[in-house]
Amino acid sequence: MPEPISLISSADIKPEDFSTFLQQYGAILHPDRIYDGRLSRENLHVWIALDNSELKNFEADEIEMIAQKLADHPQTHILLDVSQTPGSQQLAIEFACKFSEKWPCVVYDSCQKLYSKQELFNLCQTGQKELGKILSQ
Amino acid sequence: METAKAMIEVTTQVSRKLKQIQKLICDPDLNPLSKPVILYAPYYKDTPDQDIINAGGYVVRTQQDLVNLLRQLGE
Repeated sequence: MPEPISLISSADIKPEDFSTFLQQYGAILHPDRIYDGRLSRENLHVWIALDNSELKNFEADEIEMIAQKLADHPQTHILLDVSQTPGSQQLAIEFACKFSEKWPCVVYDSCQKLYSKQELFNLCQTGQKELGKILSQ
Repeated sequence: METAKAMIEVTTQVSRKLKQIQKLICDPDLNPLSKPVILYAPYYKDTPDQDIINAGGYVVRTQQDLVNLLRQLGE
């Protein structure tokens, strides 16, 4: 089953603005009744949902850590459910990089490791193949 | 994984499985017989646990609880 990664932003992103972004990025909109979009490249997939309800599931210390990294209070949570197929993480990170150009954000991966926008860009630039390994560790 | 009476999703995650469980519950391609969906998640936290239950799924944290639930479901 897919691996969850969070994109967390201090911007109050409206669903319609996020849908427009997904469309411009080339995502398939509303691939089912659950997700807002899906990125697919051959057999690599990332399912995407704007789901702020997940913010309440973070512990207070996690929120504090996220807020420190964001330098602001988190307001929007985007869930990226990344398929287990090797390479799918790369799709997710490319999307996260593009997202971070539009909205301030951090990435919180499935191992509870937090990446700032700059760390995200560095990872993208220094080897996207390695990034998949890092995120899936 | 799938048994005769249930779909079981296994994870070491502490949260963020709601959408996947909702998809398993709702998607006829993934769950054509509408079997009950169980999240076997030893480390899952209490708050997201409620979200899964509210969505119509089950959450268990131990093997014994999983066995007991499968028996209740007629396995």
